[in-house]
Amino acid sequence: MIDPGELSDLDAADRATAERLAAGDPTALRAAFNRYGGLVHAIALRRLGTPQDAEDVTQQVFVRAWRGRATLDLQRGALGAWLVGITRRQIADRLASRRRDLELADRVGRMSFGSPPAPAPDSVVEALAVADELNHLPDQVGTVVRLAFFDDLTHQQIAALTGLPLGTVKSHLRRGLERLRGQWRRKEGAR
Amino acid sequence: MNVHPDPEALALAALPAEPSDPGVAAHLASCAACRSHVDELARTVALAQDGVDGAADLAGPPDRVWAGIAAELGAELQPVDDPPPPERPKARRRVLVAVAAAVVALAAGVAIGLGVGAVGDAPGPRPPASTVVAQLQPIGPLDPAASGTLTATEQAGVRTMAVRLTGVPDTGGADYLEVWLMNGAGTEIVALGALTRDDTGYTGSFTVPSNLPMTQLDLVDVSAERYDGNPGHSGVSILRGTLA
Repeated sequence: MIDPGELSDLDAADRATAERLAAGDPTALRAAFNRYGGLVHAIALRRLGTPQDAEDVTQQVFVRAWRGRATLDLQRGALGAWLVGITRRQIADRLASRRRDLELADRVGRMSFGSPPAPAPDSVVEALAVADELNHLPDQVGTVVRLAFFDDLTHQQIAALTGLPLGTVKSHLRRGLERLRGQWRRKEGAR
Repeated sequence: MNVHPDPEALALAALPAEPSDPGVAAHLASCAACRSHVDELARTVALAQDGVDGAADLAGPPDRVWAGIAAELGAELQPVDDPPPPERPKARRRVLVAVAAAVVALAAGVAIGLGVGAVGDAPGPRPPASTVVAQLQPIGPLDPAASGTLTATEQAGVRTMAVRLTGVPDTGGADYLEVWLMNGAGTEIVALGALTRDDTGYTGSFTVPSNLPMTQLDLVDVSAERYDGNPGHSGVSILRGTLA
């Protein structure tokens, strides 16, 4: 009566993509891009501030994901977490290179052409990962979670509004919330 | 130590609109583990509320980003460990009209590939008792040194066509190459299957259904394809030949 499979299907789909990627299946790279390209690009855009850099970083992340697919440890981290980890390192490289450019400009006594956009704090990465996952929750779970998060409804109000049994609403809330928590809680563990 | 509230009660405790449950609140006051869990769930709600402002950015990068990835990886983006079998039976279907932009994009990719070093002209192994039935010539922007042969073998009434291409530059703008039979007008087309890349070029062996109207399908066509979910001909032909 509660959806026992839907949320774990998300994990299963990710795992299948990760396994195909690790095995060198090019279609898996495209599948990973379709699922996580938006998140990678959004993180890069927010952290770097310029569309061109964000697109470059997104391209590099998936190129590196393909070339580094041997490092995709299916035991340790989910596909999304692994890609976000690559994204963080690409962004850090890009920011470091900007700093070097600025320092060089200082040393040769030239005026720099204004400061680069200030990078957003790291919690932005976590917020985007959570929002992205919220967009990919099964429809019914996502609807219930949104009503609780953004419309400030109690679980009784959500049950009345949607016609779902109270127990289903509570289960959706718990499972949805814990899945979203997993998007920021385990990021650091993934290589 | 009082008993922990059930996980659903803890989830509710993290939500903004839920009234506080006195029993759960009392437990949280004395249980650091549950308190920490609820704090993490509450932080998750806060992150979702922050992140939703950026939801527009999550729509995905422009298509050119994937084109850039495919172009940069080029021939690397080939199945390496366990390539799929070359046979890929498909239904007959019409040629899709190629969008001009796609042709330009792929042609650019092939042109990039030209600089990446062509493979030598080593002849591939051929099964005995097979006859060359078509010589394939490059068309479009492909390196003129590229060439290919199509050989046919008949054994126990089963006709097999083997394709071998040499001197094909890294097809930077394509994900894989596919072989087709078609008529001269391009109005009838049958997919034979995808080619596998090896040390000397591309190769593939395909069983040809005996009921195909071979007298009509007298052109062999090799196309540059993308993993784009579209099973039709990309409209970008790179080699062609006429069946003898």
